[in-house]
Amino acid sequence: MGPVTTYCCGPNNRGVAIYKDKVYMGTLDAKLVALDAKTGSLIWETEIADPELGYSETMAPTVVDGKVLIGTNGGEYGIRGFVRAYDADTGELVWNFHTIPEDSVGEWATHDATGKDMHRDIEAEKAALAKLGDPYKTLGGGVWQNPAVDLKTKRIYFVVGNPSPDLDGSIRPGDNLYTDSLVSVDLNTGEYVCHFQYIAHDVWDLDAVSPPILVDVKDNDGNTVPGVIHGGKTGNVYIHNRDDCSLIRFSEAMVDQTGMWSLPTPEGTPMLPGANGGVEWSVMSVNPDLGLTYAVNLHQPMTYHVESSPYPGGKLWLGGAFKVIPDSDQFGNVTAVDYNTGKIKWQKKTPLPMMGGTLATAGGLVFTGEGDGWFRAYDAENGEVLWSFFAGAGVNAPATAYSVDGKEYIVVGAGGNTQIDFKRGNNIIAFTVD
Amino acid sequence: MLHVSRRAVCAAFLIGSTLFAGSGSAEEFNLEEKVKLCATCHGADGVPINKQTPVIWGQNEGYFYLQLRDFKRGTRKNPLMEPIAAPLEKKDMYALAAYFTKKKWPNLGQPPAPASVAAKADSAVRSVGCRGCHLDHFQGDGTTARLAGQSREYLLATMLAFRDGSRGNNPGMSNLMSATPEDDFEALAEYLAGLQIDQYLGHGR
Ligand code: HEC
Ligand code: HEC
Repeated sequence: MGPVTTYCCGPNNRGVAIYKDKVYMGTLDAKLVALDAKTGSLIWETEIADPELGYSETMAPTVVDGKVLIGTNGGEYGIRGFVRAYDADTGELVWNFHTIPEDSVGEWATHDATGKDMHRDIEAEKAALAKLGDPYKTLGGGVWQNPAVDLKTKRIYFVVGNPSPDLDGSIRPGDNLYTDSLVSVDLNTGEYVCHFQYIAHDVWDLDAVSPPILVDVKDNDGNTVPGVIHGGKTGNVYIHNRDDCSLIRFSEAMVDQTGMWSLPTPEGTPMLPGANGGVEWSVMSVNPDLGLTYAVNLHQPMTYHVESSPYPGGKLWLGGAFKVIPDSDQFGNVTAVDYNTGKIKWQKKTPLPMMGGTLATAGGLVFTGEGDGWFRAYDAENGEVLWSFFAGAGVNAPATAYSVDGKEYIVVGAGGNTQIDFKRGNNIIAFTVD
Repeated sequence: MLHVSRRAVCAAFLIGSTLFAGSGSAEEFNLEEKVKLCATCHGADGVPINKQTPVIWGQNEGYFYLQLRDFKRGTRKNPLMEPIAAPLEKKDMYALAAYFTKKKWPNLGQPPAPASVAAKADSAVRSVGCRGCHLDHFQGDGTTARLAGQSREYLLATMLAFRDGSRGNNPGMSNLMSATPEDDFEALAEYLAGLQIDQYLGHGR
């Protein structure tokens, strides 16, 4: 790896992909590498983008139909985001989809997906647009997490992160398409299919970062349709129709949203949720028998500060700051949401804000870990804690399940977390289910 | 006050540094000679000659490179460092960064902050989430600076320079410093300067 790495929120890697005889991995200096799965030796390496301009890779690639799919980080550095497909054998670029179109202005939406007023000053934005032009070249729109792939329709679904700079909207007029959106493109060509924007012209960094999940859902007429669901940093779960990305419903708020959407000020405006969101990168999981999805949440009161500065050429570009309110109460939740009604089925409070994700098993369990080192199994139906294990360091990654010769295993990493400073560790722990 | 004393130091060294920079510019880059030049201010044993000059031994490689790049571009201003960076090519900057990052961070003998100061600093640190980027022991990584054990006077001056915009090569850091109350900076500088982290880094790099 080269010496220049410009990533957000501490060095981290969200995983590798295995396909045929190779292992694929993105690097912090924005390269994609293919390794021989048996020997670990390098087969090919591609520079995805220039890390000196703020590009980095922390996401796991997704490999499907001979293509390696990968996005980019950099919404804190003024990049222009994308999702790309590379040839799994050769590393050649197959297609590129810009998450920021050349016309990023949109329709001047005044309310978010849940109908809340975002207090945009549309007149001022229109004046800024006339003066500055479309800000698409440095508008951010990183893609943090894996797309969901619909193999039947050959479409992929992913969510696009915040606009750059995070908190200062004055120099990026318009809806800032497709930031803070669910987007679908064609798996074979990368061509646009549909999108749905949750927050137009976001100035809170309450973007879309938890990976979408494909699941059959009930539409508003009670028919079962192919759906796609996503847990927003807003603290709502959004349920979409997979056909056209349209929003079928959104869930009750899983976290306190007091003050939403108060505009950031130079002195700082308090608002909930804090900038780590209601749901951060944490992955959700579903139990289709129960019609429930499981999310982990954060409650961290913060003040949002704005301060304008011009594009700094690949350096941190936040347009302000988020500050935790000292001595405020912080905690987390594990929440089960009925995606067919939007209602919260159960919710359990945890002592620390939650970052990692959930694993739901067919046997009716939900596994998730906490920043203080506890890894627990909950009853999928009612949230009762059925089992706990102390891992010694923050369990801030989702667990996964596998079986070998019919024996089932649950495996989880206990590495802690940099972003909210949970105890670091270096263990991968596997459990058997007897 | 701070600015006055900084200027005084700058003036004293300007003559020396322009001479060095002048002699090197036309010729081939010679790492050994450059390292000797750096040592005149940053110290032959890694301990800088004065408190306004930062430790560069053991600093993170990406951060080191970007600072030289920024001094050359003029996005980071300093009358001593700009002429030194001016003749350097990208590969020379990489070579210097690779050389200095392998050196052992020196102990400047700055005492750990007393508990009351550490508590004040820690509250500021938690509020902005400094450790989210500078990491758990303020060792930094990649293009984020190591702060632990850095010269207290330098830390204070550079944080205030981010705050008032006179250090303009990282608006993100400037934003964070503006959001930090003015009377937290003394405590932050004293706390960071007094951190001894060799034990966490294993072998002191
Ligand atoms: C004449 C004295 C002088 C010489 C010679 C000198 N430096 Fe510096 N250097 C300074 C000062 C003073 C600063 C702090 C500037 C500021 O306050 O912004 C500095 C800052 C730096 C920084 C930024 C450190 C940080 O923590 O941000 C780097 C990197 C650096 N110097 C590298 C070098 C290298 C490499 C050489 C030799 C090629 C060198 N310097 C020679 C005085 C000098
Ligand atoms: C969002 C990430 C981030 C956070 C949070 C952050 N920093 Fe920084 N900091 C950086 C980066 C990146 C640099 C390198 C700046 C540059 O490119 O010149 C830096 C540089 C610095 C420097 C200059 C070091 C030197 O050698 O000159 C100091 C001092 C500093 N930070 C202190 C702090 C303190 C104190 C806090 C918390 C109150 C903080 N930072 C929070 C990212 C961050």
